Amino acid sequence: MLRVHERERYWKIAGEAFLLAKGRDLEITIREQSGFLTRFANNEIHQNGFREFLKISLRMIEGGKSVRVETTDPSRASLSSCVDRLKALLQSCRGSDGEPALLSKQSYRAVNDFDPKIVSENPDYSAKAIAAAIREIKKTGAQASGYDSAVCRHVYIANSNGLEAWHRSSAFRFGLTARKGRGVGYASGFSAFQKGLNKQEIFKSALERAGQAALPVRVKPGRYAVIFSPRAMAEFSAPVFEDMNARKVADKNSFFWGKKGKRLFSSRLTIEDNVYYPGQTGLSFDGVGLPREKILLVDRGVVRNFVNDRKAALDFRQTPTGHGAGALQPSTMPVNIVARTGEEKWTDLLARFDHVIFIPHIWYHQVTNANTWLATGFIKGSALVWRNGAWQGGVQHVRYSQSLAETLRNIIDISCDREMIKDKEHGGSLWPFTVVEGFRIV
Amino acid sequence: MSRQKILFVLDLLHFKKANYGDARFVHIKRRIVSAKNGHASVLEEKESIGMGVRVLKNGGWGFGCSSDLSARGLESAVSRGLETASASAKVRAFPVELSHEAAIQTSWRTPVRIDPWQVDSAEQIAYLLECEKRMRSAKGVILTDSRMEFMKKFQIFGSTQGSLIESLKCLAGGGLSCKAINGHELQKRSYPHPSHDYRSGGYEVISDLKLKEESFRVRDEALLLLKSRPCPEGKRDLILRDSILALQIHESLGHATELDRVYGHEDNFGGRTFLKPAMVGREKIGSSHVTLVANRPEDKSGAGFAAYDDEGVPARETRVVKDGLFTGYLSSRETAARSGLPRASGSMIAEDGSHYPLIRMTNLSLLPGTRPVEAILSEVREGIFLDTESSWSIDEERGDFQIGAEIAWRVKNGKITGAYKNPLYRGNSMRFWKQCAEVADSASYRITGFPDCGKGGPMQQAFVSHGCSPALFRGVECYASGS
Repeated sequence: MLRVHERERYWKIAGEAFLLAKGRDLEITIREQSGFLTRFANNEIHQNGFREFLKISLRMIEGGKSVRVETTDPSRASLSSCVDRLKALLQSCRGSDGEPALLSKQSYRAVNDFDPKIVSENPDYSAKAIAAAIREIKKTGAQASGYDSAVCRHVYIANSNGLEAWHRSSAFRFGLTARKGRGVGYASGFSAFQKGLNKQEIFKSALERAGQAALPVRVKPGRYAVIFSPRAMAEFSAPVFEDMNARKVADKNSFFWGKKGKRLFSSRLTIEDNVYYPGQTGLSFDGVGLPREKILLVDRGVVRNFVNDRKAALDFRQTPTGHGAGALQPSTMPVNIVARTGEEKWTDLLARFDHVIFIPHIWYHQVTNANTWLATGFIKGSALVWRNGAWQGGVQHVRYSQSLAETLRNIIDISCDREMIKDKEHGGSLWPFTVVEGFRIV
Repeated sequence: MSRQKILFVLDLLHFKKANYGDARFVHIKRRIVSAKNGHASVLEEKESIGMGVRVLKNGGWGFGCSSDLSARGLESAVSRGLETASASAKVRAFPVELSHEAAIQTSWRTPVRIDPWQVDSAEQIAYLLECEKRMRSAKGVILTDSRMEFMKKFQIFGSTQGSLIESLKCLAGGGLSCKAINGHELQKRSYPHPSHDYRSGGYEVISDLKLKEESFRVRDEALLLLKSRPCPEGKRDLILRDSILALQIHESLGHATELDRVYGHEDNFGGRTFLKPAMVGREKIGSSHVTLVANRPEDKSGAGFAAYDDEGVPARETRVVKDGLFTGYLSSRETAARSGLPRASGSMIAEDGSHYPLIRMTNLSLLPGTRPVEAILSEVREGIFLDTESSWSIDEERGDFQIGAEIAWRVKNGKITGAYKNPLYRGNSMRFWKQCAEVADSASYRITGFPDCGKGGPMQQAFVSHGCSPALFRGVECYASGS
């Protein structure tokens, strides 16, 4: 049984901390997680465990300075020690860094990504699902490695100025790499709801891709038409969103510096950051409790907006977007990516090509030149080669090298089917399949 | 008190008839101080306490953990460990077995000269602000970053086989970075490297790192890059040193020697390895200059060092490559037993009490050669000397790679004659290490510590370190990013 808590549990911890702070400006962020993860390899379970944690992060602000202390112990003695350490750290700071005062009470829209059925998830149930998948895989002579997980997360933010925000979510994930002969197939799935994750379909898809890739084919270095799976495009485009931070742009530390309002990408590309979009998951507030806004990032290829935290919004006189990191994420960036869909199913797009390469997943994707946004990496598992109406086979260890901007500019079509890709604690990406021409394989 | 909690958990595991069990009480304290663009930006302390319980029952592994250290919390961690072990056992081809280890009762701690928590954080901020001031003292510098971080990890490990090991591991580290701009071109230099360098020790590590002293050089080299030409394309002699050579060791041979990759445990995430068991003792994977040793006793100052790992195995000096010959893997008790190895290498480390241990590189070093780096350099007619990694990408079996550096120094007739920007080199692990023409002597031996080696699912971060002297590689394909 996974543990599910109510808001009152966190409200009590916060109340204790505010009393101990004796009127000082204090913000408290609580993250609690209860979940299990089963990992399997070579058709057997090799790791299986529950992971539970509680993290309490306290931030004290005084005279434009802010310091933070984190603990895993919610007892009064621990909170009291945290408050004392915060006071001591504040004494070390001189001058003001212009840290804004605490927010007052805010109103939030609801995001429904909690399934009460999460409590019924257990490792035995998971082992049975994996055993069933492995039985089928063994029949085909293939091998599988992957994971199955179910997690319940709680996030609570409150401050001594009356702000209180709370969110509870569930996450069900299943993914695997199937190997059959020389073919490698990868598939994964996520849903906030138990019934939204079809494990049988996922393993079938991985197995099918391994079969399609079983025959080795050669791909010479050159430029090719490719189809990115939703996962591959979410991974490929991740550095683009890291640069959509208003402060990085103002600091000339982003590719987007001086490029707002310009058409940088294909006119087929429209992207927003929108946690309220159906199928998206995550928090309706940021790391300091500011409500998240829906932000249009790219409109038919034109870069329209960037996201900011509260301090950047004040410094640059911008409308706050609700993307402050706080104790919740490493940096300010869009976290709920929604890419607009096209008209046709991806299989119909595929059928139009005489020759195209399908990219299921990428690996070690790195920007090698911040000025040109040149990026390199590998296609993970097998890249599948489609020729004359059929899968010809697969090729492994394929390296690409191309600018992020050029790749997104060369998108010639987008499917109507879309998948939610969620690998991090909060947020996720809703991407369709994307067809890119002139993709450079080296 | 913590020892009693461990004994309580071990008693429960005995009572519940676990085939094997171990418990780790882990208490981690961290202080992070950083400055950005001339201002203090982060002053943060983090503390976590937890108990991780690993259970072997009916041949399957299970794991439970709790940050609630009351009897109820610990009982829950044990029952969750047992529950997951029983579930695992249903999907096993054959039961997990462990290599033999003698029960050990001992303790160890990192020698520390200055406790960072006894140093006023105001002094730490002032130190970084001075670094910032130095880096920002020239036109063209637009962004600067500096950081120091300290960690104390107190741990008690106990196992149902009778081990009880108490440890206090202390780490300190820091670094600088400086970005300069000309028009739309941005160039960056960091010191000691972009992930910041970490070592075992206390506040004395910061003075050893000489961040303040290096600030002007970092600034000047960022500005120099703006005036430099791109690295020319072609096969060249390549000299790597310090962190970029440490990264080369880490990515192309270090991960490849992790035995869990052979069994596919990382297949769905980090991949497999080109080093197959049949190659052990038979296949040359490097030139005769290449000898790689894990847990070298001389490298105890490395950030990855632990006298005992999270299975209670002593850090065993393990040669994974000897004179170019592949001689073995980094292993856990389970993978060692499965491979017929008599002992595990002592490489199993978990991020904290809420994670299970994984095979890690800990300290993995390239042994030094016999001649000084100056003598090696003097014989290079046309080559490049690379400093500080900027990007890295390698295939799933750790074969084909491409690595970028922040700066390339042109070497002509044994002398450094200028700088190139945006350098990259590429190769294949086996071919590349066979191209190693020489490794410099121990006078230029440095240990680089990385704080962020990612592995597993959920992703765990680990401190790892690699010792090396500069090494020369012949005929390596070099070019500039964007060429």
